[in-house]
Amino acid sequence: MVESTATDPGSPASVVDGPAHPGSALDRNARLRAALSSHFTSVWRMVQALGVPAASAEDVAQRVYLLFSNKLDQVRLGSERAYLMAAAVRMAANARRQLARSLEHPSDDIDGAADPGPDAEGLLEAKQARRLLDQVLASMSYEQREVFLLFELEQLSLTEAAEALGVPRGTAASRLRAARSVFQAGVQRLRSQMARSGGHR
Amino acid sequence: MKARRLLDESPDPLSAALLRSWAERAPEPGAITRAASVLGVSAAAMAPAAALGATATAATVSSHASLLVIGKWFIVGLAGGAVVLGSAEATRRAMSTGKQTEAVSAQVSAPPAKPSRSGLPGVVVPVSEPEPASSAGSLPVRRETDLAGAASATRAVPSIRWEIAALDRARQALSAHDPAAALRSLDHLEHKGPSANFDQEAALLRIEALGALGRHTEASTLTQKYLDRYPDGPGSARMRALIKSQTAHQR
Repeated sequence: MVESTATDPGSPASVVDGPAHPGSALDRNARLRAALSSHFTSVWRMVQALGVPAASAEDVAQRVYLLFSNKLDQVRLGSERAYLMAAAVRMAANARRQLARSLEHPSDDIDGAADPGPDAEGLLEAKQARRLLDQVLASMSYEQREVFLLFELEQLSLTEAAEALGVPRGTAASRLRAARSVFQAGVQRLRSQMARSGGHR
Repeated sequence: MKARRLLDESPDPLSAALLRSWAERAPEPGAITRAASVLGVSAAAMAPAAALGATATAATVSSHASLLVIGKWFIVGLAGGAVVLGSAEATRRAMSTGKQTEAVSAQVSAPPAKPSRSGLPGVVVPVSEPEPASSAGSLPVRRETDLAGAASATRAVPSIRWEIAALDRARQALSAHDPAAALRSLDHLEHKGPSANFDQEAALLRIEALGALGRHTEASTLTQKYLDRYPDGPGSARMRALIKSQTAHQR
């Protein structure tokens, strides 16, 4: 379920108060297909990174698109990605609550993780890098992670990210600064871990 | 002022490697096709893929209810198609069954009277939308084995998000081995009005819940009604075959 929020997104650029593109069924389908091919992967990885288990991520991503389909006529052309990201954030939060699965207090402490650690920065395997990124993301608060994912990883503008989160731009910027600090601290811990394991060079 | 991203600021190699690894994440192959099918964008291509998935899993099921859980995923796609294909199908069903009345047409044709911001970019939602009950125990229990239930034109038709939430509660209750709570949630959904978007999935969940409660006669009756209503759908055909094989296996 996507929950409403009393906070005005604050950016009228992608907000419309009525049907913006009535369009034909053909137009709708073309638009849906384009949104799927361009953004489904982003939606999927967003919901997963926001705490939805891998087994449920596809299901939640599909729900995001069902909602998008339902509101398609009201989403301004060019704002599809921002809309989908916003819906993904909210759907993921809801799914996460439902599944009672919290990443805000991760059990995998980076320093104490059983992971043997990368052997060298330059030799990070892709899979290993993804796992390490997960560890760093897990050390952020949920709110920090949301804005970090949207801005740093999904490349939304700060204004779009704030809109997606339903917070003022300044709040988003503040959370982003905090998230970056946590990220950099996490990377530093990883680097120390690598040095301890003897792989750092 | 445009904010700069970490990757724009020449981060150290480790940071860059972590950040770039994000783009390498991808869902399993076929995920986009399945989503397209759910949306009804390429429904023709969806059914065989879903049938294959159901077939592969069917070999391991050992109960009638479990069998229907598999069929449910079929229906998720069909229900998604209904969302997109919308009013024509909903109206056709209403006319053919005589049980889904003006409420359905109102849902698919009438704009919200008093829109309010949903918090999502580009979205308005109706105000005073009913929220799903937070406690299943507070819901009225109504044993209704008809698929459509009694529709009232005067009822407020729940939105798609409300329906999804109600179905989620039912699913969650089933996952928690609480079929009675699942039934209550489905009853509540039905009480609010016929679900033009997810009626097939709701029916499947109800069948599953009834089976889990040991109310096999009701489950069988509802299953038959379901198959009677959707005799030609790929999901129905597959369900029929699975039930037949399961019955033979039990003998």
